Amino acid sequence: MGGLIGFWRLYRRRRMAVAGASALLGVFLVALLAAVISPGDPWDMAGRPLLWPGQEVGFPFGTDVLGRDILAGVVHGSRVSLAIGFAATMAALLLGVTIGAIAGYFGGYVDDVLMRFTEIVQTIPSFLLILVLVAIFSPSAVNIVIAISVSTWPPVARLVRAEFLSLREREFVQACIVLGMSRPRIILTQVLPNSLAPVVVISSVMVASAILNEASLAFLGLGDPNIMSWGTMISIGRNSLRTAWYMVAIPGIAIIITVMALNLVGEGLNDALNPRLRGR
Amino acid sequence: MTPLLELRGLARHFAVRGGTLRALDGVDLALNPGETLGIVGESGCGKTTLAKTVIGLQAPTAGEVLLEGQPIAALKGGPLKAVRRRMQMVFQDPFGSLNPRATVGRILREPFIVHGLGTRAEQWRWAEELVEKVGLPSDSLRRHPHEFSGGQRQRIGIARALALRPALIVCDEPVSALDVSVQAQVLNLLLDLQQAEGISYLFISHDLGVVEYIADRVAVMYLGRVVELSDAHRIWERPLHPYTRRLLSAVAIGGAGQASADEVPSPLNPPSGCRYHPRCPFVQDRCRSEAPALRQLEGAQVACHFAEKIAASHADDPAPGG
Repeated sequence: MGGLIGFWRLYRRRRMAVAGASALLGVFLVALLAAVISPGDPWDMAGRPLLWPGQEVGFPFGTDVLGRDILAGVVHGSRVSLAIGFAATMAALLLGVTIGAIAGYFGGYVDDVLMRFTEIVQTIPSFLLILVLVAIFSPSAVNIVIAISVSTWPPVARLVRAEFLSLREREFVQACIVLGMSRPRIILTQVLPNSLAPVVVISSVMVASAILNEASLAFLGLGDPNIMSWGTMISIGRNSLRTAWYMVAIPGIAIIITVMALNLVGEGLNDALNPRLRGR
Repeated sequence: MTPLLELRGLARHFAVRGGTLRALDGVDLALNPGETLGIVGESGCGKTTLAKTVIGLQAPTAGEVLLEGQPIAALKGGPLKAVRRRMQMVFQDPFGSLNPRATVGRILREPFIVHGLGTRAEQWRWAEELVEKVGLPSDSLRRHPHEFSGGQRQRIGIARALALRPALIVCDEPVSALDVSVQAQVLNLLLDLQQAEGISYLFISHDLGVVEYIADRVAVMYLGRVVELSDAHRIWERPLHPYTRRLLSAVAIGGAGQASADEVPSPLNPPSGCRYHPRCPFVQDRCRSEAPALRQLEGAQVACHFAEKIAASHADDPAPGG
């Protein structure tokens, strides 16, 4: 518990990080309470089409070309965007941490093979890889998550590998070897917990970029057609960008707020968790 | 009597750019139960490699390590675990040798968990006994390593090494990172524990004063080899090898453990013959071509062709610092 309090003391020093955390908390609340704020299906035609925000009392954000409530879309879309962002990040972390941990702990030949593979993946432009994967397999939410994670794990692997390389030489790890602890146990209980701080920092930014990737896919028409995400809303509004720009702007602002918040949280985490900056 | 620990022709070479680094190059030593064998030498002489090879953190390039007569190099699984219980290690850096995320209780329970000893409650009780044994307050178990001073942390490291009741503890410069006043406390703790539990120490240090205080016998290492092996009190009074003389005089004059003003030759490219010959004031032609073996002299062992002569020439002149 003392660690958590100390963490919060360091974190709150950065005012923008606190603002980011509050904004993110707001987005979470909206996602959690989506059914309360805006009951019903966001795909339903709820009113007259192409109502501007504020034009009619029941539709503070207006309606789109088919009369769907944009508030409902934004509120329900937050669930989708956050879910895809977090799921893709979790999957990428799982891949990256596993590969990086094995490469870093065992070193030598294993390290060479895994790191060359990581570099090969890293040389492929990640959005292009996502596009290709989603285009080959069907654009469902699960496939989008898989595609994003497959193309974004390399930086995690490299980060974790570097941490493991330095940690495995530390004396407390050697002490565990001398005690007779097995390798998997050393990796999981000794090295991994000590290597996670930079991973936590990078993961908040990864959630942000996964949300952006999903939105980009949807904008290009490669989103899951059955779910209302912010990207889907932007692609619906794209055709009437000149006449009814609010249809793109409102979900766009939602994306900006969420991505900004995640980046600010990432910076705050970096300050609070990065030992080199401690005690400043 | 079978020695507790025996090293036979132990060598550890590292392939590095530009050749082979001979960190250990044929070391024969034996350690009896309940005894403390000190290993001294300048940095880079292979002391730490010796510790790591003995404890099994590094595999020897040649030779073998025998614990209670049993070679340990090829052991795996259960038999290796059994050896781990007989032989533990205290590390040099009290800030690096404890997992910063674990509580002291966790760190001290770990040996029992790994070896499947006791129930959870018993493990806690044993951990409490361990902190008591090394002179720490019993509420230490709930705290994290960063809440302790260097000396206290080294006590935690010693407690961890004691947990499995080993016969041998390898101490790799256990006090060199501590303040002088704290050094004495930790050394006294080690001595008390030895008396109470009959543990043997392989005690590695660059500090001759520390080794003289704690060791029964002393091996002086130079560039991966033992050049002199003698009783601790006698090596101080009557050093036989010119290198030992030099180490001792450096202590007497400079007060520091590090002896040399001139360059130590690289273990990457050790000198021919006697490895000490480029620095030795008594050097002869024979020293440049023929490597001296350890041999008996005046109840000690020395690796020098001309040890008798040198000793005789200094017979009236007691060794500096003696």
